Amino acid sequence: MTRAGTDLCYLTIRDAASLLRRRELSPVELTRAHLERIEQVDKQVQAYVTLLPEEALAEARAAEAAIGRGQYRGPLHGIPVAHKDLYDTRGVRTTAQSKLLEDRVPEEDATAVARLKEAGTVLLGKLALHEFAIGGPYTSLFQPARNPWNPAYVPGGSSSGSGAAIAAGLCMGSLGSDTGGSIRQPASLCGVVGLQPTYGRVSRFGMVPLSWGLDYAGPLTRTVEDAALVLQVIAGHDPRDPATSGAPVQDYSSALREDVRGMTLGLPREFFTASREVDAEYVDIVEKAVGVLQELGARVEDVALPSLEYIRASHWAIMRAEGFAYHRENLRSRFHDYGENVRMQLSIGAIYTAADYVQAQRARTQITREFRRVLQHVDLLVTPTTANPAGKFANIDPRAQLRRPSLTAPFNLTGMPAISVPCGFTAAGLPVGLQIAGKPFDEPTVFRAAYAYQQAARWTERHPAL
Amino acid sequence: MASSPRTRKKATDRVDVKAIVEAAGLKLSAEELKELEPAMQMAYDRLRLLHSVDLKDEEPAFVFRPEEVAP
Repeated sequence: MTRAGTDLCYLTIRDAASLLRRRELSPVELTRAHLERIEQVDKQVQAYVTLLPEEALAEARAAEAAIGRGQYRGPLHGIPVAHKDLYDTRGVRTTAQSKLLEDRVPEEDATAVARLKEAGTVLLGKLALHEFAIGGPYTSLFQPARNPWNPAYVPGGSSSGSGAAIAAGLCMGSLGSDTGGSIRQPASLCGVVGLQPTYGRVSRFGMVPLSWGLDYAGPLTRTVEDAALVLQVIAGHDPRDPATSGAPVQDYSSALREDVRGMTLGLPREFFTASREVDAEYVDIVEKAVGVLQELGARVEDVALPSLEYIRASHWAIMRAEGFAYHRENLRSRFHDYGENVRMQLSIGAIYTAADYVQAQRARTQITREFRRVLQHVDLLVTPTTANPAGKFANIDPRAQLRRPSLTAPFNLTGMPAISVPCGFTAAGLPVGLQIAGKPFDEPTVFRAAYAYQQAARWTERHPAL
Repeated sequence: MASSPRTRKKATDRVDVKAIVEAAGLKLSAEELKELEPAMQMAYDRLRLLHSVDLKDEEPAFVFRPEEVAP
């Protein structure tokens, strides 16, 4: 690949859009550069499970012609994207990386996919994930995606291919899904940006569900401004997802300012306490990131969230009971068609009774009330995204994974928008993520703080050597 | 009275994984049951914690809105 080709693949969406709009870059050239890079690099990264080169080039040519006719649709027109393979794509196999759905070809697009197509994006293909968005990297179908910063390490999950592809320059934007951290965790471990929007902000129609009450659709991109551009297109009410809100969609890009003066950031100290399960080096890097936000003018305050003690219990009960309900018949009849880890993870859901589920939902209300009370006094909550950097494939331990605290799940439970933005690297050269969460439907404030940090720290300008 | 699959053996305080999965209609081998046991135990322990929380008069977090269901 030419140097120029690699450079094209690491343009931000915002910069590429500016060139495309002025016709200084062709969507065909941009798409070809990505297809070439995929050809050369994806053998190591294994992010793609389905590649659509001919279709992508046809879409790119159509975009080029439309822009040439003056029919520019906006900043995503001609931008190459790829989505987690649990988003339905019309006429393109959608498997959730499971043998159970090996031959499934949807007849229509998921709403978020359709909105991105309408905005003129070019679909390069479908990306790897943890089977049915739970379990671990090894699945019943396809090889696992690998971390572009070091392929011996996992990229996180369950939107593993999305995190890996964005970091490796194999697409410019991706839809991931997040039930307990599945957008933010791979974003953190791969050194990219991942956003879980407010519950109800983005339609989940056409996504293979894991847990209806906790699933979120959202973008992974290389920068905060690109996440804002993607959210702008996919946000909004959808009659086919009754959980979506009719709240007006704000102008997310206008919220991007390099200024956090006057903002108060709440630090839940429990998230920063190193322990057997929480890596000290990791916490130290995130503390430094908080220091950068302070230097930019934000005020920092410790906050207490006593419900953290039982958040995991509530989250597990809702996610696993709903996941078990969805998979029960297949677990009964096709147990061994699931991957080993995912079938075990899903079977845990058999333990929950209706009373347990209702108790978990009641706890969810109480936990959300507590978080909202805290957010009356601070503008945002800031935490590490994960408790540890990426682990090696050779050391995967599903039981240890279950014991590990989740720093992302609290925001699935409370429905609040939360973003992961790169905030440094470990001594081993693995990325670390900073999580910034806000009030429901206050994505603009989340974007503002994340963008201010990004612009000051500049970690998003580093790319893995592949 | 038939015992619940979640009946605890007080001496060992272990959850009866076999009874739970059978009640759910799953057929797991002895080896698979053994593999599932630690995770199921963890789920049970988290449930005990959940039921020990004083939720006062909190209502469940889901609300049914018939007008939002597309025909």
